[in-house]
Amino acid sequence: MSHNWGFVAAGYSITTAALVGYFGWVRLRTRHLRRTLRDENRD
Amino acid sequence: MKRLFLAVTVVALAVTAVFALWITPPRADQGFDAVRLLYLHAPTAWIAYLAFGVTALASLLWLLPRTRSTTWDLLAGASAEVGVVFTGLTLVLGSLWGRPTWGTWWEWDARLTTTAILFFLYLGYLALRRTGTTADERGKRSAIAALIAFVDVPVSYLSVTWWQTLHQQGTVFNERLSVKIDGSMAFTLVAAVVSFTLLYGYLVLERFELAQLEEGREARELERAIADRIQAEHVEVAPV
Repeated sequence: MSHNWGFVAAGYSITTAALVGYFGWVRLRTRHLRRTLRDENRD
Repeated sequence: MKRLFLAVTVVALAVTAVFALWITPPRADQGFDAVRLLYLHAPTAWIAYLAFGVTALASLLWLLPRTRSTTWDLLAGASAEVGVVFTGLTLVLGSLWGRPTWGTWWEWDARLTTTAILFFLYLGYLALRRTGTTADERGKRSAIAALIAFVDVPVSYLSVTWWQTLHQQGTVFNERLSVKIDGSMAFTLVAAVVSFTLLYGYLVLERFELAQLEEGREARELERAIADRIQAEHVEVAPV
């Protein structure tokens, strides 16, 4: 019997990917906007 | 301070994962090892309710003239977005757990259906936040929508009590308030709820900061557009 480890692996992988992906997107966008606003202030 | 918050959150999540994957026992009546999805599914559902609760509270504070502030509007939006991510995860994890235990990926059961409705209601809320010409107009529309959408939260939570459902009753907060979990499983569930709550707090903090930057940029773009128009009008009426 497989004991359903495939479902467990899928669940933990999807959760990690979704949360890390979301966190990364927020961080990247924050960094980008901060840089853009800094450049605009300089101009 | 924010880095310390992140470090504590990551450590808490790592400890929870170790307990969830290696220390807690499998359960024959819950899909054997698939029961390990409980430590993700229940906390993500809790965070979804918490996030939409915070959105509703912040929206109410925005609507009240005495407490009206852009902060509440931005907090409502930030919390709703994080809530949508967690609601999506709740649905996916529930489906993954349902397949080995119930033999189906999806059932039009009251809890599942009301959770799916919750997901789409707040997706709509996020779409609504992108409309409106002024911050005030956007704030008013979205605050009212958030309060209406929140009605589905208690309905979803109580659906297992109100209707005969395939979904089990609450493990801790059920009709008879009899806790149906103990030992390492109870400890891991509590640890998961605490660590996911920390993660929610951190994500909202990050998203709120981004929302403030977006707001600042929008205001600047509006100012620039107005200045450009005034300049254009001035050129048009100026004598040749």
